[in-house]
Amino acid sequence: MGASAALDYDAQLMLRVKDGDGASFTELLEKHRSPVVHFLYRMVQDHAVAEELAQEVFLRVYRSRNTYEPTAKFTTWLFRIATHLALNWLRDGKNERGQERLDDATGDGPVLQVADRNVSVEQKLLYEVRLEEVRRAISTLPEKQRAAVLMHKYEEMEYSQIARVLECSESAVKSLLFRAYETLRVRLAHMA
Amino acid sequence: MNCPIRSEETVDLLLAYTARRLDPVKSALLERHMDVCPQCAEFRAGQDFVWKALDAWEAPPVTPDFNRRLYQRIEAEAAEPWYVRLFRVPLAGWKPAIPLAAAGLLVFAGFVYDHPVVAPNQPSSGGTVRVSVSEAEQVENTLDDLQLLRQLDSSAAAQPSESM
Repeated sequence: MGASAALDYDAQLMLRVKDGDGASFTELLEKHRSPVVHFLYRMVQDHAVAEELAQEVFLRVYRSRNTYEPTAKFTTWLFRIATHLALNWLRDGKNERGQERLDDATGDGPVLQVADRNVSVEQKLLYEVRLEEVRRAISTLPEKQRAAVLMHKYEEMEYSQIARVLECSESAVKSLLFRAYETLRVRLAHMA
Repeated sequence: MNCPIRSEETVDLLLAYTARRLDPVKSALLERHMDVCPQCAEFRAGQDFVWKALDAWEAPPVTPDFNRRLYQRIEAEAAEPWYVRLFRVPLAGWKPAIPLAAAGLLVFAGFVYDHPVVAPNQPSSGGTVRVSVSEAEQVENTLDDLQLLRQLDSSAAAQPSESM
């Protein structure tokens, strides 16, 4: 299915929600729930907060059903709401929560299964350390660069779509990404 | 091929290449260039490493009751009175109204500044008279003068009888 077909389908679903079709909302929720939660998780690095913010995203989508106009791709609109909420959360609670999560050695990311007999304790520890380095490197990026990298890497969005989500030009997105990856290359170089 | 790393306009080719989003023709051209350009080859190696490191960072699965919690919130909102829901109108809908309201307020403030309201002299209520400090002093001085005249008058009346 091409991108334009996907756009039409999501927008059509949203228009059906506007007409009072609850099943279409469920379909949109099922389709976009994981990408939104995962994006928010990588932005705020706290799973519980990410889920709370994702709830707010879908609540806003539902509240806006009567005024919804398919002027942009549905996912652009969805990620614009998600990014807006994540950036607000980071700006509001940065001092109290920012470093706290990073220093939490347990984290809430997935861990390697101990039952896997091929994975030694050393390998598991090494994996955890490397993962923590990646998380830390991402968290030190300026917020907009972080959002751009996450949308580019994990959501596989085009520059034009990231630009619409972040409400900036395409060249600004290229510049954000280039600087962000450059920082990551330097910060993670010692792991290579 | 010109070195893409030297131009801001083409540097995204390298990012697209490492993200495996470059078309095969451009990828082949870039690979040939990287064979002879150590700077671009180094960029590719570094970017490949970052890409793999990011791949390792998996997000935890969404909790199973996510939908149930969401629908509970939706139902709770639907049960709220209309005036509470009114304040939940998406912020985007208010955005154009904010500068308009600010402009309206400025015009109103300008009008009030240009046309100051002068309060008319209110008639005194309850028989009390407002007097200024200078007026009070003037009255006091007059009363003092009258007192003095009365004293002079009485002393003048007493003097002839004494002389007689």
